[in-house]
Amino acid sequence: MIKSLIIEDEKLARDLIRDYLIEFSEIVLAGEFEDGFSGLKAINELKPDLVFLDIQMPKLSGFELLELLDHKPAIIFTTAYDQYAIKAFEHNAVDYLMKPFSRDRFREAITKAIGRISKGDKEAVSKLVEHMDSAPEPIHRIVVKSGSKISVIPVADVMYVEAQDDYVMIYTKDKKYLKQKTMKYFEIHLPHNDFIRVHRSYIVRISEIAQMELYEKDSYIIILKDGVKIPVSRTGLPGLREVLDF
Amino acid sequence: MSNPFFDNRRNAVIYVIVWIFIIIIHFILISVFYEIKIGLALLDSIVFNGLFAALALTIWYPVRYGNPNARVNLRYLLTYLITGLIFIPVWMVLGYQLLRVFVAGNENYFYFLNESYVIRIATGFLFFGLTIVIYHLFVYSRELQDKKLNEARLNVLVKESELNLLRSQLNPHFLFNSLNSISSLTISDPEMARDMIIKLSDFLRYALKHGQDEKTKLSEEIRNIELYLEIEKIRFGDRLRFIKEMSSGCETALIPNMILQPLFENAIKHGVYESTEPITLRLNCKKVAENIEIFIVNNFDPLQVSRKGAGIGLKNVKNRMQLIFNKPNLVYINKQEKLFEVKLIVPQN
Repeated sequence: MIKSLIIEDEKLARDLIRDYLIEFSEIVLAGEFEDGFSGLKAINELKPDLVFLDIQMPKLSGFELLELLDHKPAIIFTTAYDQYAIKAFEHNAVDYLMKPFSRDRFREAITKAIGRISKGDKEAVSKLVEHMDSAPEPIHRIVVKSGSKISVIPVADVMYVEAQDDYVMIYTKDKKYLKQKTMKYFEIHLPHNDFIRVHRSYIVRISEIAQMELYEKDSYIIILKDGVKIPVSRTGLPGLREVLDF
Repeated sequence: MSNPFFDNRRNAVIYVIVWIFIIIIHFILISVFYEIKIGLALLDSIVFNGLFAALALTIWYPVRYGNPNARVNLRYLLTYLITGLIFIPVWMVLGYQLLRVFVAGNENYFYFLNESYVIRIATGFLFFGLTIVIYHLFVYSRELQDKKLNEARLNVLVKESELNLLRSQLNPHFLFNSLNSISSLTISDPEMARDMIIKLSDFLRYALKHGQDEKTKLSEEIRNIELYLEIEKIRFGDRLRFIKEMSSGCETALIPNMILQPLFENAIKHGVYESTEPITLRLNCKKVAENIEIFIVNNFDPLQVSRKGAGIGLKNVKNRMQLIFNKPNLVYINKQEKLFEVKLIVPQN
């Protein structure tokens, strides 16, 4: 028996998948969910083997959902149009269905998924996330999970980012969030006009910089508007001089 | 707008060359007809004309800022005359004093200088007048350029928004998701599937047929928007509601083509796509004096964090309105905690 979920915000699209699924007696539909949040919760609780996942959804997109998964099922993406995502699919073993899709194409995807589930291949989703991370598309929000709580942080609120071992700490005006990503990831994805990497361990919002001071001979620190002091490394200095015009 | 002789190298070179020419003529005249010694004649010419050339650069500012549209009427002529009455004596006195420093004690020369002030003042006024005329010509030519540029910009924006409309009507997300809905309906409700195909076709037909006329009837534009919303309603069901209130005189009002579509699209994108709660779109129209005022209001999920930077669609609408009606402030945006409101003022004369 294969336990499956549909996470898709349009009712008619869910209806279609449900109808296509009828012929597969070995697949049980364990639930249908209309947005990313409830879908994420359902995957972690119900631990399905297979998920039909839409990309564009309210609250949390299909990709953001992937980043936060503890349990990693086989995933068949369904999407109307997403050039950039489709490229990512093509390089990875995850299957995807382009709406509208035929019954034959659906069968093909199911056959592939069943093969992967029986082989116990869990790498596909992680590989996809990795691939998406390396594409230089700027991000507008960051999703973070702490315990069972999910926070969506607008990039506009981020003041600076600090490396902490395998994690990064993201600082906003009044809160901080820990996320499992690399500094490299944030260096690539935070908008380049707004942020600058001043140190191996720090990326700072340019408009938050209040002043820059000589700390010791040859080494500088910057002081943010709320008083936080951040070291500037030798490699960070030239870039900083350029944006601060000093 | 800076002094035209400063902001362009070519103009500056021409200015300098013309004055060198004048200096040479002045020098020849006084050395030949008044038999002033060559050195003195040259000095006289350079001091008076060089000084004038430098001082004349400042005449730009009363022209530009005192008379920004470069009008010619009694009031401005009088202003220029008064400016001249200050300018010429300042120039004469400065020139005289400078020469006194350079050629102290040469009585013959100063006799000549004292005798020639009438003709100097006359030429001074002539040059002063010419400078003003030239500055006026600069202002005219710049205005003409600006106007051409404005027109070109308008054209680009209209083309762009035509393109955007086409792209949004053929918006791949909208189109393919709609087709997917139809595909689903063929199983559950073939009648409805046919209905949706017809609506989608009408909507696409509207997109293909228009584009030439600059303005269209509000009622026609709204009919098209209703088609769009009906299709989205089939996709989103109860998540999308639409209420329209039109007071009399609005139906036949003329509005720029395709000006509402991006606003509705925005409302759908940031309202319905991002929320699991029902979103109500409200369209109001009323006549206020010579204008009609159109309000488009939608609620949105206050907890949503926008995925993409919003505002490009709105900015385009703002730009187009400003360029078409040549008036600022025709589009107002009011974002409250849970409501997003766009107000459009469309002049009707």
